[in-house]
Formats: sequence, C-alpha cells, structure tokens
Amino acid sequence: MRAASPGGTFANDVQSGKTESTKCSLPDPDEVTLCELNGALENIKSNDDPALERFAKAGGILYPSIKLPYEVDDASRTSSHSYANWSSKTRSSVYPIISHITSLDFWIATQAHLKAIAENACRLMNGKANIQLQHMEYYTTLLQDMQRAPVRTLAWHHSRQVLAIVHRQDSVHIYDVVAERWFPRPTLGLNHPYQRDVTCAVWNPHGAPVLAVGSKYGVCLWRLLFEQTGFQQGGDANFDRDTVPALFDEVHPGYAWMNFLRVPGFESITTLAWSPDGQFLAMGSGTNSAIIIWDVAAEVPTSISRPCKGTAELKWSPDGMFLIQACTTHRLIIWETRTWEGKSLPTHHGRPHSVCWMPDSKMFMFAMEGSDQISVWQMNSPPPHLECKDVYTLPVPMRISRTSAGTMLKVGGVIKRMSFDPTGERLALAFEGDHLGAELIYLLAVRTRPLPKFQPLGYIRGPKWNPREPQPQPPRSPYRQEVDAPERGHTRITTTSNWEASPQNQRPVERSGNNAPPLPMALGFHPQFGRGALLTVVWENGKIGCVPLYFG
Amino acid sequence: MSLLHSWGPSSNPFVEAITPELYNRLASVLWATFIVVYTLLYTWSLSLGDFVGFGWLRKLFQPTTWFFSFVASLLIGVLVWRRVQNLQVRRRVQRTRFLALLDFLNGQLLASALWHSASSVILGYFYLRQKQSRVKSDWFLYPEGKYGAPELNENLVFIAGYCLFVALAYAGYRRYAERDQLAFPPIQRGLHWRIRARLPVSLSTAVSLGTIFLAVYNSLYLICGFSLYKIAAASIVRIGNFAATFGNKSAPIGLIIHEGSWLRWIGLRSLLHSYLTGMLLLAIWEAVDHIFEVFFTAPIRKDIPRSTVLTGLNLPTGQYAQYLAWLTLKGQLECRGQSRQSIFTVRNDEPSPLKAVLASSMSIVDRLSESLEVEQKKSKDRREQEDAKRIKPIAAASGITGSSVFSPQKRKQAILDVVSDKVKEFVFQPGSPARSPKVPPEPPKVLQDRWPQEQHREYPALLRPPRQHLDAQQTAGSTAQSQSIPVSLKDRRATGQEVLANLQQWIARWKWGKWLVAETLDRQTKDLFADFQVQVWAIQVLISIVVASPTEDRFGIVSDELDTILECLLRCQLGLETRLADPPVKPDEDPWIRNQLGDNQLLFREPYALLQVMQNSLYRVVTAWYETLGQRKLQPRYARKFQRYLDFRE
Repeated sequence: MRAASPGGTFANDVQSGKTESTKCSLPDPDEVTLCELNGALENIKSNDDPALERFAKAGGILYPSIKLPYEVDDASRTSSHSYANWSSKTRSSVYPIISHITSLDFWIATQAHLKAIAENACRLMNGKANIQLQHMEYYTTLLQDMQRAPVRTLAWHHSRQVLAIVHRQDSVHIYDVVAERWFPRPTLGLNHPYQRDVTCAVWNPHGAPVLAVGSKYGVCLWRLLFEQTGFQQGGDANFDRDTVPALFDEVHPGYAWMNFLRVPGFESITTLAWSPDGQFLAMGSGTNSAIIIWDVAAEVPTSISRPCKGTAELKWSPDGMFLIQACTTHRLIIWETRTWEGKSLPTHHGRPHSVCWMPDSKMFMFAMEGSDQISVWQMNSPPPHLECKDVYTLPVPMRISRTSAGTMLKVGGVIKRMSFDPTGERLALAFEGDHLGAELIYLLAVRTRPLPKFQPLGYIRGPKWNPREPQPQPPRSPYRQEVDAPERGHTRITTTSNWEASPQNQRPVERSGNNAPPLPMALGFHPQFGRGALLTVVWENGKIGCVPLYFG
Repeated sequence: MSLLHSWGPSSNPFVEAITPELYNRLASVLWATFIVVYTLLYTWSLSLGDFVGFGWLRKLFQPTTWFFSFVASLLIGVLVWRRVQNLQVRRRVQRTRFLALLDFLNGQLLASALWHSASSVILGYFYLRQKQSRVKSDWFLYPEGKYGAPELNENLVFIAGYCLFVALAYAGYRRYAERDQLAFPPIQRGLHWRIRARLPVSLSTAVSLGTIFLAVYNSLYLICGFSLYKIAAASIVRIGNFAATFGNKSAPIGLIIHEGSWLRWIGLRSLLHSYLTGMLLLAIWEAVDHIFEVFFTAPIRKDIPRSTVLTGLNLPTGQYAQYLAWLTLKGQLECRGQSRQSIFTVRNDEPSPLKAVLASSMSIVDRLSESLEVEQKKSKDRREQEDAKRIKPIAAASGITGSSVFSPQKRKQAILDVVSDKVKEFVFQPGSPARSPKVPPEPPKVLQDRWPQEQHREYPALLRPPRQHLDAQQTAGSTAQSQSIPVSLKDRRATGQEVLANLQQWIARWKWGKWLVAETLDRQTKDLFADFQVQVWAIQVLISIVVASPTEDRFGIVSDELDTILECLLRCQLGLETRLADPPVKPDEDPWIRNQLGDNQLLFREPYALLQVMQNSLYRVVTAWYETLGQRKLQPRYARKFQRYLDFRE
C-alpha cells in the first residue's frame, strides 16, 4: 500500500500543527514499511503486494533481516575473542598476587569500594551528599533503558556496509551486510573484561576498521586486523576499486586487537565522537562535567570543561570546527575546536538530546526531553567566533489519527530519538511512550536553504511481536520478569525519566498501550549511501531493520 | 645573542621573525615565576590565626615575603634562563646504557643541582623564619641556667639536609625523566586555560614527589643521620674557627655531640615541617616548569608571511624554531579560507610554496623510512654474521670450509653489495676503499657553529670538547678554508671516538659491562623517533594539503605528485610494520623487554603511534581522492599495500 504523497510545502502547516493528518496517512498495524520511493513511503501487507514490484523496478535492495536474541551464549563471554587479554592469564603463575594487585580490575574495584564507603559516610554526615547520586541518576537510567532490549546501540561503518551491534550483555557483534557474515561467528562477540556497561559505539570516520566502544571505565578501541589479500597484479595495473571484497571471508580471516583508553577518575562513559579527520576522539561522561579529547594515535588525553553535571551527547560538526556537548542539565555547550573556547547555551525547555548538524556545519538542531519541539540554531559567524541563535522551532504535537483500516493511533508528542541523514535531506523521529502509535517513526524531508523547511513524508512501521516470544510487561520490557508487584500497578516511563525530579514526580503511562508493537530503540543513517539514505532502526524485540530511502 | 643557539640560526628569516615574540614569552615566564613564588610564599606564611583578624592582609604587604620572593625568583629565573639557552625539543637518547649514564652526568645536571640547591636554601630559610614560633630555628641550643657549649639543633640539620636533598633529587629526577624536553600538546587551548589546567597538576606532582622524597630521606637519615649530624657539627666548628681566626676574635665555640644510638629518629613536628618545606619547593619548581612549557609550546600568534614560515621548515633537526615553523604551518593549513588557499597559489615571481612544503614534508618522511631500512639492514647483516659464526664450526667439521658460501672475503663483498651507497657513506670514512666508486665526492660543507647533528649521538657530552675551543677552532678554520670542515675538528672527533671505544671495550670485559654497553631495542627505537613530533606534523601537513587539493588546487600540482606522495607514505608504513614485526634487537635478548612482553603490553610507543597516524592519513587520502585513485600507478609492493586501503581492510 502506498502512503499518500504529501503535496506542496508543509513547513508552515506543521509549525502551526493544524493539518498534519490530512497530509500523510498512517500505515495499518498489519503493514510494514519497505522503503521510500520518490518522496512516498511504500508499505506492504503481504508477499504479493504491488509495492514489491515497484520496489524491484526501482532497483531496490532488500536488506537482510537481523535479529539478536535477548541472551547470548554465556560461553562466548568466557572464551574471550580479544587478543588483548591483559589480565592475569598471561602472567606468570609465580606472581599471582602481584598480578592481581597490579591488574586494572583490582584498582577499579578498590576505587569503587572506597568511593562507595566515602559516599555512604558523606550521606550519613551530610544530607547534601546525594548530589553525586543525582549525577549518577542519568547514567543509571540510561543503562536501565538500554538494558530493556537485546540491542543497545549500533553503528554503521563509514565506507562499508558493515554494522557494529552492541548487545545488552556488552558484547559487540560486527555484521557485513553484503556478505551476510558475522564477525566473530554468531553467539560470540568482541568481549573483554574491561568492556562493561557499554553505552555507545562509533567507527573511525575514514573507513579504517577501528571501532571505539564506550564502556564504564573508558574506551575500548577495537582494531580489526586482516591477513594480506592476494593482490597479484603488476605495477602497471590500475587499482581494483570497483570490486571491493567482503570485509570478512573464509580465505582472509580477521582478528581483533583492543586498546583500552582510560583516564583515572573519568568514568560512566555515555558518549563518544570522532573528529571528522579521525585524529581525535571525544569522550563524555554522565557523571562528570569535563570531556576528554583523545589524540588517538599518541593516546594522549586532554580534559576540557565548563560547568555542567554530565554529558549526554557529543557531536562534532562535519567540518570539524565545532563540537557540541549536550549536558545532562538544561544546557548545550558549543566548543570551537581550534582555540577550544566554549560557549554555554541554556535550553530552558528541557535536557537537550539528539543533536544533529546540517552538512554545511552552519546549523544544528536538537530535541529536548519532555518536549515535542525541535530547535534549529544557526551559527552566525565563522570560527573562532561562537555566535549562534535560535532560528526555527518545529513542533510535533501529539494527535489522534485513524489508519485506513480504522485503527485509532496516537502519533507525535514528546520526541525520544532523532536522527538526521548525512546528506541533510531526511529526518527521522521516534516518540516517547508505549501507547499504540509510539512504535511509528516519523519521516520528514528537509530543505535547509535559505531557512530550514520540514516536509512530512509519512510514518515508518516496523515488525510485530512474535507470538511465540514473551509479550511486553510493565514497564514495557517483555523480558523483565523481576518487576515488583507494587510496580505492576503503576507503570512508569523508564526510557527518559526525569532524573532531576524525584521518582514520585515521574509521569504515569496508560496501561492500555502495553500491547503496542516493538518500539524503536535506536535510529541511525548510513554515513554514505549512494542513492539517498539508508535508515536503520533497532527495535525493541532485537530486530534491526533497514529502510532504504531512495530520492534525489 | 647566545639564546639564539637553541632557537635556531639568527640568520634564518623565520627565527628573526619570531625572536621578538620569544623574548616576550621569556619575559612573561619570568613575571609569572615571580607571581607564583610570591603567591606560594604568602600562602605558606599564613596560619589559622591570621584569619581571625586582618593578619592575612598585613602579611600581604610583608616586606620579608616580597624580599624573599624577589631573591628566590632571581635564582629560579637563572634556571629558566638556562633552560631557554638549552631549549630541548628533541629527545636526547643514547644507544647504550653506558652512554646514557655518561650523558646523564654532565654539566647541565651539575648546574641544575646547584641552582635548585640555592633556591631551596633561600626558600627553606624563609619558611623557617616564618614558623619561628613552632620550630626552634636557632642553630645552637644552649643549656638552660648555665653557660656552656651549645648543642647543634638536630631538627634544623634534618630540615636543611632535606632541603638540599630535595633540590638534588629533583634535579636528578628532571634529568632522568627528560623534563626539560618541551612536550607540545595535541590540543592548543588559550594560555590561561592551559595554565589553569596545569597548576593543579603541578600541585599534585609536588605532593606525590614530596611524599616520596621525604620517605627516602627519612629512611636515609634513620641510618646515616648520625654521621650527617657529626659532619654538620664538625663543619660548623671549622667554619667557626676559620671565622674567628680571620676576624681575630676570641676562641671558637665548642659543640656538644650526644653519642646516642646510631639510629636517628626525628620528631613528628620536624617531619611535618620538612614535608611542608619540601612541598613548597616542589610546588614552586613544578609550577614554573609547567608555566614555561605552556608559554613555549604555544603556537606563534603573530602573522608571519608564508614564505618566511617555509624557511623555518628546513632548519637543522632539533631546533626549536623548526618545531615552531611546523606548528605554525599546521595551524594555518587546518583552518579553511584564505590562509589555506594561499598555499595553492602559484606566482611567476616566486617559487611555489606548495612544492616547498611537499618537499620538506616528504624529506622528513623519507629520512625516517631510510633510517628504518638502514636499521633493518644492519640488523639483518648482524644476524647473518651471527648465523655464520654458528655455522662455521659445523662447516669446518664437515669439510666445506672452502666453499664459496663460507668464504669471508666473498661474504664481505656480498654484504657490501647489498648495502646501499648511503649506508656506506654513513659507515665508512671518506676515501675508504669500501665506499662505492659511484659515490660522488663529498660536497664542501658550510661551517656551522655547532657539531653536526649525527655526531651528537655518537658520544656523550662529557667527551665533547668545550664549545669555546670549538668556536676558536672554527674561527681559525674559517679564515683559512671557509668551505671545509677543519681538520683539527675531525681529529678531535676521532680521538673522542677512540677514547670511547677503548672505554667500552674495557668495560665489556665484565658481565655487567656487557649489559652496560649493549644496544637495547627501546633505546634504538627512541633514537630513531627522537623527532617524533616533527615526523607526525610533517605527515599531517602533507595530508592536509592532499585532502584539500581536490577542491583548492586549481593547478593540479598535488594531483601530479600524488603517486610520489603515496609511495613515500607507504614506504614509511612498510618500514614501520617491518620494524614492529621483526625488531632489530629481539625481545629475547633483552630481559626488560621480555618481562614487558609477558604482560602483553605494547612496547614500542612511537612506531605504533606513527603507524596510526600514517594509516589515518592514508585513509583520508582514500576518502578525498577515491574517485580518481583507479588511474594511479604505483610500484607493485606499494600498490599491493594501497589496495588494502581501497578495500578498507588496512
């Protein structure tokens, strides 16, 4: 079934929030979105849907369905695949105690114990000692949220169709979409004792097979190593640029080497961002106002800070001139990356998240926690100046709408996730809540010149729950069995709860929504997609879906 | 000016252009030194009672604090001045432990120890003066109620000894840890931000070093304290005698020395005040050190013409001005706009700046590649020789000594054939028959007022002739034959080498001597990458140009040179990989490395880091030039390597 094609410019209508329902229809609950063709989303109901034919005629590619289980084999965690096992295994048995004392684990554990003792002592002596705990609340909430679904996050390789998927059990699985091959083999993953409480993963921006994984105590920098390829041609031959082999194959097995980048005292890593030239890696913590800029080659960290409680997100501008730090408070900090001067921008409506830069690095936008608005800001002057202003606000209010099959859905509302296509032409939004309709992803076309304009394209619908799998229980996760009985009575939002408010003030959610299909947990676009954009969605049931958006 | 020796030759236009700013920096450091010293002395002079009334305000204007701040700043200023005179940007490495030991114990260490000691005495005296009420600051303690010989105040001996110990230990620590070498930060923030970030570091270092030094000193005093006390007492008596004789006064005073236990325990109060004194000293020295580094590692803010900056790139390695030139150029190329575009501009009346930068960058990379290849070749030859030694007895036993394979003459010839002309030039003296006849005669070298860079690493400073002697010789030589190296200089060099060689042979007779004169892998690696920072900058500058060229190079200069640039980088990468995979000195031969490998730690920091830089740079080239790379033709070994980049498998 083809969604109604939106006609004309829609920006003003969306801004006024009046006639959105007339512009794009909603997919039925038994449909699934296949792709976007020429500005319209194609949804299919069955295998003989005519949309499939249109898709094939347009040269569309069906991406393999990837699904990760909730629990991976425990054996994978014991038989570590890393080649950087620095723990006591490699040490001589003559010095077991010394090796234990000198191991990082020991110091981390000791430090954590001492910290806990100090915190408890402070709590006893001083009522204000829970400030640190408030800082921790964002991090613990983030972890709880990520722990709900099998997949925590994912990252596209910048030059290959290769995905890095972070499982909830802290293992990283790499999947070559073209070769349909896993690395390491399924049920195994890239594991290491230091790789704990993973919250983010990012590939090197220049195609090098280097993956940075943010864990509790630092960054695990995984480098994939490959054996020599059989390039047998002579010097006069041109390079074989057109037939790039699969990243992983039987003939040339890959290996992985891990470097662990750590700054003592800088823990609870929540976000990572590579500089566009691949030289620096920025690292933010949920409990520390500073950010660390790593010179990755020399492994030299530099700390920069301005007052804020913690960092939720870091985003480097495409030209590398600015770095935005979204704080865990109502604040954005924008850094100029030559002089590293920073400017603090208050966001009065809530905690900023999902910061996205326009491709020309002259504008950026972000959503705010508890808000149904997207703010667009413009850089008024070139670096090293840090003058910027709010130029546009896009509201996406919640509304009740009816599908063609007559199902009533609530769409829009508080924005949970937002992802912007690297070409700057498509914007995908996921919404808060677990009601029927929260599973839909809102897709907009974007024009940035002279001023940003947003044109709705429709809603993307993902998979349904497998009837043989456990159904979602409050608070939403179908796998959570340990929910206390009193908590069953009133469900609460665990996705983005307000960590500054007390738990009593958290908003209840309607119980009627518990049967909603799997919710989108993470959104991402492939950094380089030739025919438009490739939207990738991590669903709550562990499924990873790719929706190609063919335009341009 | 004598300062210019460390910055670079004064005739260089870039050095000339930056000199005023560098003098400004020096003046800023000296001012900052005074402020730091005064602030810390004021802080240390405060007590809790000062905050009850306005004591803290009164002490702000206390003349003693100002006076001692001024005197201490003068002494520390001498240290700053000396550091500027010997500004070190390049790592100072000797290839063996023996040479490192000789290099360690040189005049700089002595001078550093002297000036640190002088400042420590002044600062320690100030502290004790301020704490008169808490510490008995009189040197002689007279018995109460009767006249008699006094006793030397042991607490003061302990504290004074500790001040001197801290000065000597800190001077040694600085020398050992190469703290004089400037470390350019990867991220250049504003000066006040960097100073703000560094001050807590200097305080924490002061605390940790102070704790270690006090623990060591206290342990030493526990055992040797009595001897120290007796020596101090005897010295004071002698000084008293001498002063009395000279001043024609009455008889000298006598001192009572209690013959107690040889284990000397010091009270907690003295320990505490020693600790605080040590912390004061270390905090001042560390803060000044960090401020110096912050000022002298900042990029040049002044607008310098591009052509002037380019003249600084080709200064001799290890010159401070060369580092600044690379840093300035890197900064100019990193920002978009007019500054970067100007490098791609070609004018008829002047040579292309683009070509000059490409040539300078590639020459640095090529030099490194060549050094890596030479080292690998030397190591290969050495191993072959060792293998031959092992095989020889077997061959003799089996009666194949006459075969051509084991003929020493042929073997030598084979080695000579394998070794490149450059290596022969490096190894053999001019005129030696071992040198290839194809090697052109050595061009006359321009006289320099210093030793050639390569010779520095051959023997330590102790065996070098004094600078004045060299200058005199060179002045004399320049009048006679201004276009050649004076003979006497070469003679002296040979003498130094001979002495060193004989000394090493003599030491190597013992087992520990062999350990001392053995060439170690880590030292060899450090030596190869002594200019690591410039090597990284050269690669980054080169890549910045290549990446910007598809949109900004309208004359296609970079496009024409891209094959050469890629081959240059790939050659270096292959050299680095070969070295990491097959190090010239096997880890088995070095117990230290063997232990480290047991922990599976990464040992070779610099080559690994440079490899990362190289890989990232080549990937940036691939990203920027991907569409046109299919038409490039490289040598097979480089093409094979580069194909891996195109497959994103490197």
